[in-house]
Amino acid sequence: MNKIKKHSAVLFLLPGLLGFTVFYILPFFISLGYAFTDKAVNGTFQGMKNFVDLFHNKAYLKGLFNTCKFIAVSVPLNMGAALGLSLMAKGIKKRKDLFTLVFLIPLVIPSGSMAFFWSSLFADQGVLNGWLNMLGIGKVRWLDSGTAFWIMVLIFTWKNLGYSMVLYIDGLNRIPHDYYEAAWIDGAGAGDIFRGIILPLLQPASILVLIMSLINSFKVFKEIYMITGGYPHDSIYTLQHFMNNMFASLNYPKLTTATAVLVTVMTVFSQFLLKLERKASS
Amino acid sequence: MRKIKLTALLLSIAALSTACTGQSENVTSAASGVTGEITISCYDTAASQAFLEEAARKFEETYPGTNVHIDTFSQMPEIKSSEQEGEQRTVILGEDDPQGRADYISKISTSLMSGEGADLLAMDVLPIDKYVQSGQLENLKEYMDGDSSFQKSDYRGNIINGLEFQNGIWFLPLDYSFNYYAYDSTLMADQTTSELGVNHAFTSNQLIELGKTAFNGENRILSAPAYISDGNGDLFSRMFREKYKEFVDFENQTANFKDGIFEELLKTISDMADQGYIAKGLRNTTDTGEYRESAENPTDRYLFKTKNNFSLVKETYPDPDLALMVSTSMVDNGIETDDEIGGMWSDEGNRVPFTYEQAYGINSNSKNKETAWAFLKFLLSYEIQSSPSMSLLSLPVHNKARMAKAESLYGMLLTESGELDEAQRQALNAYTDAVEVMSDQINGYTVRDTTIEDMVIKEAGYFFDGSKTADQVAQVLQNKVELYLNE
Amino acid sequence: MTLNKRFLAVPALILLGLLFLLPLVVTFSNSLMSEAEIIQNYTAKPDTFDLTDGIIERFKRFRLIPERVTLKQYYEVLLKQPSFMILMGNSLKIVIPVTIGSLIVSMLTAYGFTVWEWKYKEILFQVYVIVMLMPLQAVLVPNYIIADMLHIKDSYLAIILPGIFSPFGVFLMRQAMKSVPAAYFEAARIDGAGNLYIFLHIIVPQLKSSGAALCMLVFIEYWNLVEQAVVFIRDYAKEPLSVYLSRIAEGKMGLVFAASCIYMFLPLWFLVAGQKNLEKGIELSGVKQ
Repeated sequence: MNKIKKHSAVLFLLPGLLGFTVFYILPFFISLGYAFTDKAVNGTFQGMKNFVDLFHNKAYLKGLFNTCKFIAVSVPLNMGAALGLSLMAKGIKKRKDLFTLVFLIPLVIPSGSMAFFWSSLFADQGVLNGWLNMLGIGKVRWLDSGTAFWIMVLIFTWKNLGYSMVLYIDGLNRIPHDYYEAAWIDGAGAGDIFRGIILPLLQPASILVLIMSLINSFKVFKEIYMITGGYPHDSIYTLQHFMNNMFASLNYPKLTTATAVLVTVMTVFSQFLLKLERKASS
Repeated sequence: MRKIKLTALLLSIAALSTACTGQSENVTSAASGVTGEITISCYDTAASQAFLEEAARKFEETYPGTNVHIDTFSQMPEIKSSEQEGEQRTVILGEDDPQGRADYISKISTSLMSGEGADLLAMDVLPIDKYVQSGQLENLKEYMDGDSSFQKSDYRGNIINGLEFQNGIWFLPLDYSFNYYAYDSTLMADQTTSELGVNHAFTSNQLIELGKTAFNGENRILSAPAYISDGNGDLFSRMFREKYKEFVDFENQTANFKDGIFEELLKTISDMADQGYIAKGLRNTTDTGEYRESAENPTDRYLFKTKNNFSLVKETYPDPDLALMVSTSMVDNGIETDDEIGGMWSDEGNRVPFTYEQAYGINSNSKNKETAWAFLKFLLSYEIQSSPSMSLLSLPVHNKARMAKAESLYGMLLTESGELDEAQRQALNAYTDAVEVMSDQINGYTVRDTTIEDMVIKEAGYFFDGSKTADQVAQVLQNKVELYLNE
Repeated sequence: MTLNKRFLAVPALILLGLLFLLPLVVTFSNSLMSEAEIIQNYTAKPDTFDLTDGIIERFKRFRLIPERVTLKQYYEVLLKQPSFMILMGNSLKIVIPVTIGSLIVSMLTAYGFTVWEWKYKEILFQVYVIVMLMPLQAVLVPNYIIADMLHIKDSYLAIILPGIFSPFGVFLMRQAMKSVPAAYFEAARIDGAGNLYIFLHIIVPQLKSSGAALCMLVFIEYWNLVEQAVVFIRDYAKEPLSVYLSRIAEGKMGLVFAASCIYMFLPLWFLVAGQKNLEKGIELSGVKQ
């Protein structure tokens, strides 16, 4: 009896699964064929050549490197800052909501206005250079030098900090108050409490923040593209620039090859994430 | 809700299976006859929409059973009304902006990638070189050779052959324009003018050298300034285009900015500005009021200026009213009343290039290539080429249509009735002679890539405003362009 | 926290908060300016140099308080130019079906994943996670292929359907369901309740705030949608307003700020009204039993 009911649950899964298959899985496999041909129209089969070429493609490697670098820098930074602010927010007694709201607001600003703001700020004749000029300091090419990378990190953090904070604040609220008290009585310092209680108990929240930050780290491309276009400074040429440009220039084989590689990476990566998640929740 | 969704899913599965079988059939079904539906896609609607609509209507009349769709990309125009001096003015703002262009390209590219897309593609903003490399365009050479009803001799052969790129002709222009140099006859010594004329061609460098003999520090040699940030009408972007082949090799996908030629180019131009041969920049291109004033009451004289073929009307029929009407130059050309034709504008390596307003290619995915080709041929026919909806500023590629259009152009500009008097007829003959002699010199088209040009022009600006050295600019461009070409 | 520390922390936090609000404030104050003033503040045509004048540098500047406050932009957008309202209507036509559809589908699917026992269930779920992690650029072409096959590529369905079946909602809802104690299921089952009953009477009420949080996130995401619309929608009269706003260009800045502010109002209101839900909702997804 029980078993039948558990199996009838498959009916709940089915519609969603079907739609998911039709709109994501099936077209992926259809498009995968292009990864093995030389061009999109009347292409001939050429085995794994595209994959070999891809790893000799300077642009791809640069994009890959920058994307990894960006994730390695911005995700931990975002997590750390969010955790710090959440701990501070915990200490605030009044108007706590308002405090988090401020950090959530970047989520709702239209991308166009956002891009307008940042590009007005960092343009060569932008606001920031105007201030520097007033101080008698020469222009800085914010978007056309190595600083562009940090601007990308800034925009990402600015947009996603609130989101991560909400996750952390909640995680903190879930740690029973007695734990802290017990630790205080035992004479533990703030650092000990943080390391011994907060960090381990916050693990499930941390993993969720990690996953969300990862997803959102890819989304920052939208604004970056609006600000600097398809061929920005070397330091912010990401994998999405590569894919977007392949898309614009019709290079379907390269695009699908890059996608296939990305799927492979994500498969390994998601395995790791899910394992981590299971470990944290058990 | 759930029920609706389920039916949608069922429908989608059904559609999937038919879509798969449908595709294999299409290969054989494109059998014979000019019939059925075709679609044309273009970005620059201002230039071509009205023209295409009229041509489509005539085509459908000529070939019953056909149906031509014109797919234009447009954005919401911003309508502005403002009150000025008690007068209500309504302005509809233009639609062209880089974001819109990028959006259009990405729309077209996505549809092409999925094996779809319009049958005919306007080559206005699309990245032609990339489309050719990915095999997205049909080789029209085969179409022209295989179709006995297409007489290549009706057209300017040097224009069509000039388009050959990667062993094929991938699109055909409906019209062409060229640039030429005019010189101020009051400033040039006689022995110099003997080297000038309709059947000569010069690069900017050659012209500057020629001008140095007559330069006395008072009048600039060229009207073009060293650099304008939008890359329109300035000497840098011109000379860059002249040497384009030195820097960018599409066939081998290599960039070459580092061996000193590009640095030299930057330095040469900045030297010329320092010597006073040319101006450094424009006062302010957006300040239209000031510009208009200087265009209406020119005070400066220049030894040489670049003009568009349309200005030939002015050279053959001097008339101050006409001069204002046909002012097409991007930069102020100063006093033009004593201008004479100096010669054609040439690239390095004796290539005299042309540009076009409208050109179309056939999409390789097209399921109705025959009709698409028929329509393209129709666009090139005398009937359409001589129609008043073709652009005034450029020249039809069809030989007879070009003559007919010149006549109606003169009728329109010089008379009210359309009947030319003796002097006007002579001017017309002088004009068509000049056009033909000058057109004969044309021998190529440079496939250019707007992305690369934008990169180069932007980066070069850092050199001209003094914030980067020529070496730094060349280094950055080498990286960027190489990355772009090898992506 | 000691008093001393707080004295330092509070101003620092306020400063940081202001930094976060600056784009909002700038957009809002621009919306109260006349076009002439905006152009004056933001035009800094580069390279305006001449042989005689030398290099003239002008910089853009943010003006937080308009020289003269005017509601002209709002007046134009709301009353004079119906096109803006039409575009905003288009946004609603996309965002409402996606939000509702994805809520329903995600809840059902997540429930299926929670209750159904199958050896390869976790592998299947991993596929969802992989797709969820893929950047949009990788998913866009497959989306286009399928839309083309289904003949929906010129309609909103090409955007709406992939949105409804997007894996993100399933992931979020499944995480949230993990927080519902297993005992609830068992108790209901022993009482002989069917899956539908459990879903409707136990799961849905328990996950109200998670559902609201999902709605809000999906709403915000699709309200700001640009790329998909650019690829699928050909006719400007059918574009969502977000695409139009993404094309803010010099010389075209007359009304976009007021339009942006009006456009922001809805998600902002949701955010303020639904903040509690958001916190509770994603909060549930974080903790499992």
